[in-house]
Amino acid sequence: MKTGELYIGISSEKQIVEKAENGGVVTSLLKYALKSKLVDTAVAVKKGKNRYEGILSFITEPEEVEECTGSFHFATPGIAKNVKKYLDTYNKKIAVVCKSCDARALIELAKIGQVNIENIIMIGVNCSGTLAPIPTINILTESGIDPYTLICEDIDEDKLILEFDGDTQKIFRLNELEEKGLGRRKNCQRCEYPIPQMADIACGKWGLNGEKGTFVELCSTKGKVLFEKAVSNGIIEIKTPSKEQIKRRKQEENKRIDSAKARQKADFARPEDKFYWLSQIQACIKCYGCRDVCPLCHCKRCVLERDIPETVEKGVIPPPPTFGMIRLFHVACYCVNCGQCEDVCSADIPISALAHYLSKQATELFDYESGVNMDVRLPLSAVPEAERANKSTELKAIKR
Amino acid sequence: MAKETIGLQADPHLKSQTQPEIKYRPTVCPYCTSGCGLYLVVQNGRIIGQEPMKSYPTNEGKLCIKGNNTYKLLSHPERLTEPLIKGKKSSWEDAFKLIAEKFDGVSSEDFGIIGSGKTSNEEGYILQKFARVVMKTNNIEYCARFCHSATVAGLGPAVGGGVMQTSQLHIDQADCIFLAGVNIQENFPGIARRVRRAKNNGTKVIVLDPRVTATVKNLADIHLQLRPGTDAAVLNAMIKVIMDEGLENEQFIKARTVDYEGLKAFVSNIDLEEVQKITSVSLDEIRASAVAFAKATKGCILYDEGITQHITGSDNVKLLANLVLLTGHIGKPGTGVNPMRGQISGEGSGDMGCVNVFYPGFRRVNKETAEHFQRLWGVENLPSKPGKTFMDIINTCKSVYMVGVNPMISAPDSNNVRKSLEEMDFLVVEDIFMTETAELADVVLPAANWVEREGTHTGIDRRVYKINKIVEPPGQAKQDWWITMNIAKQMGFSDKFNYNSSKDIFEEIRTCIPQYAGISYKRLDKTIGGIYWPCPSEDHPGTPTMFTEKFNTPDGKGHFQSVEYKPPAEPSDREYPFILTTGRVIFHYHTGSMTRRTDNLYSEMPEAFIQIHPEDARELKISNGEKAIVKSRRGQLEIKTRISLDIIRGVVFIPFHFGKTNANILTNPEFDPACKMPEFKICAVNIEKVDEK
Repeated sequence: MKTGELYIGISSEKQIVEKAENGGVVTSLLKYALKSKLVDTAVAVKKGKNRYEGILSFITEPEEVEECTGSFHFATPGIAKNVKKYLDTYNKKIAVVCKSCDARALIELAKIGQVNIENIIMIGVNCSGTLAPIPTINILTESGIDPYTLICEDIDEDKLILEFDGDTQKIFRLNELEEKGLGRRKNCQRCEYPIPQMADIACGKWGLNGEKGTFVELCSTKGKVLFEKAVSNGIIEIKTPSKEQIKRRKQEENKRIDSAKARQKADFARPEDKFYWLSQIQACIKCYGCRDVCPLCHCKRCVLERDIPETVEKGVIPPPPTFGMIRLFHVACYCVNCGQCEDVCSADIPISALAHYLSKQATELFDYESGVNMDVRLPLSAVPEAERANKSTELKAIKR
Repeated sequence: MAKETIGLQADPHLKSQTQPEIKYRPTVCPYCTSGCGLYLVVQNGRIIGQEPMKSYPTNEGKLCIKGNNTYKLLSHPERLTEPLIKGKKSSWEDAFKLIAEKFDGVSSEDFGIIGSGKTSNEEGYILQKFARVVMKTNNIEYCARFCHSATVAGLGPAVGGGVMQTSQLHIDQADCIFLAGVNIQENFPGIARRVRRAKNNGTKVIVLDPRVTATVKNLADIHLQLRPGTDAAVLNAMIKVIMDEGLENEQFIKARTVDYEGLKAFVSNIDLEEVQKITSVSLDEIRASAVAFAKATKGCILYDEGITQHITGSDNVKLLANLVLLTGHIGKPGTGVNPMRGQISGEGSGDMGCVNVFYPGFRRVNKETAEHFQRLWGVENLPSKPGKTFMDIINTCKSVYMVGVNPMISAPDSNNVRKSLEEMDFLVVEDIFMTETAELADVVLPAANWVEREGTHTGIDRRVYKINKIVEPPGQAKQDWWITMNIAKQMGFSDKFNYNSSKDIFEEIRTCIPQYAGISYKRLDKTIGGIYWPCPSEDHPGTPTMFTEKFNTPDGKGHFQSVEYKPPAEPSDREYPFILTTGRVIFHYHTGSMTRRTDNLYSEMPEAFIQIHPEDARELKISNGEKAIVKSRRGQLEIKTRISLDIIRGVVFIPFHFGKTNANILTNPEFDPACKMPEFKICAVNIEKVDEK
């Protein structure tokens, strides 16, 4: 097998295939990685009390992995930050199921030594976006359906398909929801990485058009090695995808990238109201939530905790607008648009849009795409030759 | 790769966990009644972190600064871990023996219990049962005397009950929200989010507050910045405007109220020009607020201490009730005249009967009720006369048992409180830290806290939810009901106090309190976000909205009450030219025993400040941050100044969360005669620059 190759895989364990939404490849790979001691811990999301509650689980027993089967579109734990906080990737090996945002965050964290990428296998999953649970629960309650009878949900094309106990189904058009401010999380709507090629393996169903299986892309040597081992040990059966299937997969990807770019244009353009962002930030109540959940915030002594009058003054609420903005400037280059900050903002500030916007500016300035390439150094801590050769006083984008 | 980077090693303190058995356990924040859900991350019986819980219906994963810093204080080195007798470490056995000895034979007059706003329902229930069965007294109170006793006195006659009428989840349905005397942004940040959401959807928000608070800055469309203590004048004026302009809801008034004519007659005598003079609020703004509220499809009043903590607290509440009865904004989701009980047991401890005039379930203390509980509990001679209230217990009882309460910081006139506590024959204080009150106790008992025990709480909107045990309490600390039960056992009441679990107690609560009858631990474990009482049976879904068909008054109708404006008890004068008003900040909680021991909160604000207008400061020759001596007729404080335009001339503000800079040294214990609510919000002080010599 070679890096970059595509396969259609299906788990050779019947009970996994039955439970799985696709081919059960992700479940099988995790199980195999644990059983064969390639990793010590598997990190995946388990269903909680109901379909809206996804609990991040650190699994050491291979059988337990099967409880994580399925894609929980309402569960958005901050996987990268939780891995950094609670696991020791310098001394233990882990396998993490991650969306692009999680994978990108892990890569950025690895660049600053917060996690050890050598000991992390990222099993990426294609993603059309995730949703906040409560707004959906509210719409369902309003339309007379008991939201807690939800068995399974999926995003297909532009539809949100919900299946309930008793064979009921409810379909929403995502654009209609999103026009009302509902639907997918805002950062997901702007996401241009639907297929996590920065992970070690990318798994999904696009291109299969209903055929039972998992479309697998081997993105790195690490990923290739794991997949090859799993296949040669009879854990996963494979076949080669057709040209048509590969084409369809690419189309799905491009469709999402196009709509993401359009969404970015809309979210980042505030032509009439120069003070829009200022007025939003002024609602801040200093909960420190954004700082606590941002995967890139890692400073032991955080500037936000200092007492600088009129900037990040202690004991003042509302804090000066600089409180919210300083953090954004610190992480601007590296923001991976994971949306965790906006999820937890106590003042409902659309902070992820601002962070993402700033990171796009930084990307242009430094020609730095965050979270996709371990070998590309952080722009503010590495000076490439081309930049050293720049004798002018202008900041021009330097090819890195 | 790691070698090449700046050499940052992973954070060592967390990295010793080589075999992670890490679990995420859901719970609810222990601070205010916004009741926000969160996950505690637990490994090997220790809490190592907390994470957002985005699927929880109240807060959707969002927390304020206190909610983001909940668990570290559980393992704080100053946690009480052993019973202390006269400051010396002791055993539970010895402590129970001594307490039983001392309590035995104390007359029902001389004995008192002050319960907590933070204990579970089960703990509150056992405490009041102890008062009545063992000590034969109704001298039992809790901190709600100081926040919503005025609500009970005001809303009782108006609508038949002093509870929040709408679910907090429905507040954003209102198109006009009146925030009366509540700094909701700082004190109920989770609920403030809903007001903000509503505002973003076009809801008009009116704020009644003498200061420009964070609530005013973030949420107000109209700020009625009144002189402290003139609430009744403003509210009467609003009522008059509504009536004068014919904006009352005639249909509702006819169908569901009485005494409208009486109110009309009274209101006709109100002089609006006079109101403007008394309150300093312009008539235009009063009018705009009244019209906005009356014309709304759904108007919602949320109110708190700014309304209640006055000698006219109950009067103010009556006027708020008039407003909703006049406009029909009650009995529907997202409406009502809603008291904002801040403590997580603010509603619960009252429901359980930790009140001098109520047995469990709001049964009035009298002969009939005493007989009812004699039958239920299988005992005789239960006390049938109302007991003493909070301050009377402190000032006149000789033997007192306090649980989770810190009157040295929370009660008015602290110097006098200290005197009274020191003069007591025997004081037992049960708490989690050595509070300023515990320092004066003869016996200190270490209690378990929050997720160190299983128990239910009843939140602000009558929502009953369950806290599950996640970690063990430190040292010998025990759950409050276990402690009270064992004192009862030591005093010979084993047969009446024989519980093996919180569940046992809850099952008994269900038989005593009809509103709780349909709630069970099983149901609570299955539900997310709790069950609203009244819940009369196991198949009843709970009651998010109160008074949908009728009120709880004897005739089922809402009663208008006419109330004259009366000035505060201690106005400013030549000797004490400033009005001091007290209140809270978002960084601390109440008497600060928990938040002052939490690094991220303490570092935001390690001590109190006095907020003062720049012109006043200039006249006193004080610069920002300089210390001042603040004196009232009862005591004095040395405190840092914070100069701000957010307060008007002649008025100053001090937050009350601190031990050394304790605002209540200055405050006035004079109270509302209808409910004995002290006037925390107003007293007269003078201010001097600290003499550097």
